[in-house]
Amino acid sequence: MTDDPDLERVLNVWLDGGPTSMPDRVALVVADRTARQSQRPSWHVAWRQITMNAYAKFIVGAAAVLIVVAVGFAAYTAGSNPATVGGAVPSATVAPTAAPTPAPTPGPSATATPLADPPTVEFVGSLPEGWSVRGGANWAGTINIQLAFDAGGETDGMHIELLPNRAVMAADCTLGPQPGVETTATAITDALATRPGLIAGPTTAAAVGALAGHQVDVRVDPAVGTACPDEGSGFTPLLGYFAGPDWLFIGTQPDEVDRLIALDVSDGRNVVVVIAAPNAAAFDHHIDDAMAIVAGLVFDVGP
Amino acid sequence: LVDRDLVIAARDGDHPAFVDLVHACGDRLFAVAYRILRDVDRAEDALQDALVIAWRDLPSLRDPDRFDAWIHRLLTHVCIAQATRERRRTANLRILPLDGPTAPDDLLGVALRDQLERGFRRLTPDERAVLVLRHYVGYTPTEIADLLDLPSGTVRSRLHHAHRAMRAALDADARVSTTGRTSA
Repeated sequence: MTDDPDLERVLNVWLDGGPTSMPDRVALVVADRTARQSQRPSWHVAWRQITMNAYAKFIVGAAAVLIVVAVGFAAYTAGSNPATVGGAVPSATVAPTAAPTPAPTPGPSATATPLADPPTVEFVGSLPEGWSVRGGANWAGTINIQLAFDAGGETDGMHIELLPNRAVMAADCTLGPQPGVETTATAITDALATRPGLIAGPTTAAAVGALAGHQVDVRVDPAVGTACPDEGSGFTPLLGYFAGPDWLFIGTQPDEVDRLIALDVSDGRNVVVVIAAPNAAAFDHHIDDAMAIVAGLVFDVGP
Repeated sequence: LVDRDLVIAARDGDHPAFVDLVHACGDRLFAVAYRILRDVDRAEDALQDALVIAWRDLPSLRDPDRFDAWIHRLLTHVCIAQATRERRRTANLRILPLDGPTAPDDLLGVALRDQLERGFRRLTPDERAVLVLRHYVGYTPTEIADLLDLPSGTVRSRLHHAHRAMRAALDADARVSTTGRTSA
């Protein structure tokens, strides 16, 4: 295939390495998920593949016009209010208030080492349809709850992350916490609500399980350039933690909408619940479900 | 190849048959998912999603003999979608030792494998997929094109670019990137 037989051999050998056995839990999870899901009738999948000729398109189009006319006439004769038809699409729930530029505040840095004993989290309740729990600590100490994969669907990428013991990352993209910002819930949400490059909604009180804190919705201000030239346009750092020897952090991208719910544990420890949506429409559509899930979280913070 | 009768039974709604089907083809599919995503957890997630979609859409599979290609196509699309989503997360992550056994290590040095990992992670998800389908599964470019609904020329182009990138990675000095940056 290649004109480089050495490369071909190397690739073949390299790809032959690695695991070849499906973990048992995959089959268990799949059996459980599919037992609760019915199959899609074959016509439901196949209809998109049907190609219509011009005549068929004309017939279908004409039928659609007739239906619209008939429905409109019925609505008119019933005295319905046409102003309620086709109303405006609701916008994202993030309030479009420009964030003021924060004054630099000197002070002690957030802790640079992992805080001890991150709380464990349980979810009590039933997940709305389409949501599933993804692995425990599957990336950087997070627990993900996210929508099941929906190929090409609007919900693709909507997820909830539970992040224990996070610090606000430096706004200038240096690898470390924002100087002067503590790790309390108030400090975290206040710092992110005023972060340059973000549009933030109001900061409000929040409570999840037995933990209290504050929440704020944020999204990237498209009018502001990125502070992170290596990360592409609009990337704005949010929260991170020291994973030794490096800081790992999350940020947000243009179009994404994130609800950050910072909760105090004790002694500067925290849990930040991030509801991340790929776009405003997904956020609006699923935020109620997501908040219902969050309301079912229980944190075991130990003694 | 999986049992044709099993495919037909699962397609007709026999859930235990589908579970048997999962066991029959799971290892092979997991191996493919892992090789595209280079991460055990993400491979598990992708395989779970692909199999759930497979159960949902199995009634649309008219020719049970095409199950193998059909499920590979489904899995590959899920892996590409997942890799696209996750790429921002891992683009600059420090390369950690791989999970699981890496049997033919004797033939490739640690440094060489590291270079291959780095090169592979720089490929686009589409390029990763065609590389794995070509060099691990053993499909021809024409078969990959058929599998992914792509023009044959596109597949060959992606393969060519992937090969060139991997060769460049092998020729390059080891580079170390030590930061992790992700998107919420």
